[in-house]
Amino acid sequence: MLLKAFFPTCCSSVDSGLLVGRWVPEQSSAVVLAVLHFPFIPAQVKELLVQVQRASRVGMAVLGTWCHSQQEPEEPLGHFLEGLGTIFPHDPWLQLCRERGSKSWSCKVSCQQAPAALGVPCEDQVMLIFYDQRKVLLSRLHPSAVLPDHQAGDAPASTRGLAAVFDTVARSKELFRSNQFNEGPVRLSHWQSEGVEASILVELAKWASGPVCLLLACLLSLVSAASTCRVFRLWPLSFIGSKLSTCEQLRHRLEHLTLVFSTQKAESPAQLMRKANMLVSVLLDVALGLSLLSWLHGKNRIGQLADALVPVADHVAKELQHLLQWLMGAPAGLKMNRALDQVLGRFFLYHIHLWISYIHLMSPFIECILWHVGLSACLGLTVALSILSDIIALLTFHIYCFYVYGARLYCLKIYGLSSLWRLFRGKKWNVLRQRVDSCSYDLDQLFIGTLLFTILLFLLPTTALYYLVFTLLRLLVVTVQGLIHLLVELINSLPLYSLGLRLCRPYRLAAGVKFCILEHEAGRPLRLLMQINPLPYTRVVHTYRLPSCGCHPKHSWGSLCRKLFFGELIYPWRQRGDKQD
Amino acid sequence: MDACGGPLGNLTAHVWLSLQNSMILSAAIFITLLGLLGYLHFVKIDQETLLIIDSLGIQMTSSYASGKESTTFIEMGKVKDVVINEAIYMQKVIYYLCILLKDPVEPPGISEVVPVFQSAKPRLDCLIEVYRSCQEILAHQKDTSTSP
Repeated sequence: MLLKAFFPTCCSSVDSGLLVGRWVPEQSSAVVLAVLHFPFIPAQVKELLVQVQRASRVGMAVLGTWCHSQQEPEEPLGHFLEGLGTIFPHDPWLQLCRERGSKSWSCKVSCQQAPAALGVPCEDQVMLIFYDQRKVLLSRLHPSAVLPDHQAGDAPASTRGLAAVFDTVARSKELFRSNQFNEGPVRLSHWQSEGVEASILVELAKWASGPVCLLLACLLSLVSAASTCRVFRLWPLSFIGSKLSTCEQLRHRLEHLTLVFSTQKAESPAQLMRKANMLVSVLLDVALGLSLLSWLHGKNRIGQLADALVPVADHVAKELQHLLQWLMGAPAGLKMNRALDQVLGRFFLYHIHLWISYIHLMSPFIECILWHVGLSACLGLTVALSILSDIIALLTFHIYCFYVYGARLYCLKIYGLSSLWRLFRGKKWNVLRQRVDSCSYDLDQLFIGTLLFTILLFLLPTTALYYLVFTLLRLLVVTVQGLIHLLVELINSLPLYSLGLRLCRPYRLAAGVKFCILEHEAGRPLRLLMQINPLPYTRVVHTYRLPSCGCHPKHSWGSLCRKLFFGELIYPWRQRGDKQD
Repeated sequence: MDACGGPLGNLTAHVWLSLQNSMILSAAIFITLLGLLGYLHFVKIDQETLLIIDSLGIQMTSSYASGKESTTFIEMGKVKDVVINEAIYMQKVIYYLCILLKDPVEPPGISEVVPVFQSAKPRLDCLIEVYRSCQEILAHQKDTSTSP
């Protein structure tokens, strides 16, 4: 099997020394982590390796020697480098060499034992794979197919194949702690040997985050305790709470904040990513909310909105009145059942009259209500949008009522007709067996059934027209609310931190690797450059998407059309359990 | 004189219509250009490369017309075999090279079939040449892994 030596690019121009790393026998791979420079005391080197091994649980060893000289190493130096193999016994012993200022590399592999017995390749069968140590250390290798039941990163990463290289580098942080400013007994070269990356701001934030999180966690626990109070479980409040989008959104945000500011440390990288995504989502939401708040309170826009709202509601009511008067005549030249048409028309007109009275009764308080709604935007744009959705629901309550009446009447007609049609054919619906069975009816039953069937059939077009018109109006309102819910859902569930990371630091989210051939000459080792293949944006969204508040439509297009055809009520943003017919 | 009915009104209407038409035309051109750029960046593949590295894996690279590159690397441990498969497409039989991946649960089984050169669709004689090269490397890989 070909020997693969993974060599960090940051070490390709450092001074001569020993190659420190991990040997993976299953793949006959040598993962070089650092170069240990001359002079050194072997006992101290061994002590360092033991310390690192204890901290990282990675089998550390001296894998061979690294020679970076003006020309090919002279005979005495060559013997010295080979002789180091007796002090640090390791099979196979790598001898990497590079001429200073040139691109030519040489790699020798020597074995104390017989190479065949160990499965170690011959001298020419060596492959040098260069890797960016910093990127490999900071990246997270995602499995090729994430199981739908698991959150990304919950399962332990497979340490087979290239994942072993990533795992080795990730677990060797202890080795990378030492740098040129340390007064240690050994001098190492690795990605952090120039100095440990750090930021005063980050350190201060880390120092301050503990008490801040503790304080916020206490406040949030008080809020959640207040929200679970028995008063809120009483019938009218619990019913209203289950119906309002605002309550749903506030509950959802409270869960988010509780998780973000919990004092428990994230156990896995996936959990850390989830926390970061939630934090960014909340921050963006609040920032957008505050910008909306500043826009609303500037130039008295709330007053303008309040002044415009009542005339708009009046205009909608007037348009509905015109629509009903049109339906009470001969809409589109259709001849309706006059009596039923008049009854339905007057019934709905009376509702509109009630609605206008209700709006005019509310008009003095509208500005105050809008002012408080605007103020709620400081809790986040999603809360403001949820309130807007609820306001739309309240302002179009008459349309909803019309839809319910029309749907109930139409549904009654449809089910009546289907039942009477079966009677007309001498059949009936068997409730126990859930099937249509034959049945012998009396002459009276058949006569009355046929009579009722005829009446219902001739009254159906009038009812169907009213149902169609009010269903279309209801669907218009539902579409507007749907768009608002979609925007709320987008802010709630979009993994913004992960997407930002993918945009600015693509190597952090790795889908896999790719290789570039650097040198491929006979008699020389094959040199490859291992690069990180970033995770596609679609997979980033799919993997790190935040859990939603369950307000998305529960119907498929097919079931929606079926419900509309049979006159069943549609509640697109309510789960089956919440449905109150 | 009525402004709407006179020559001035006609001219205004004509200018308005031409402006509207030019807006529609420019929008259509803009959308077409966007579509073309999208096609070049996401659909049109210029070149497909298959790189097999002994004991490391198989790398497939697709170069798009815009210059974008898409790379997929399959580790050698996951590869079961490379085969030439045949499929009936419309009224003809087409041959394609594909990589069979091992099932992690059942090692003798196949978990996935990854087709290669999906855009280029090379002829059978070209595929045979690539297939032979692949089999040489895979055979060498099997020999070295089974040897004591």
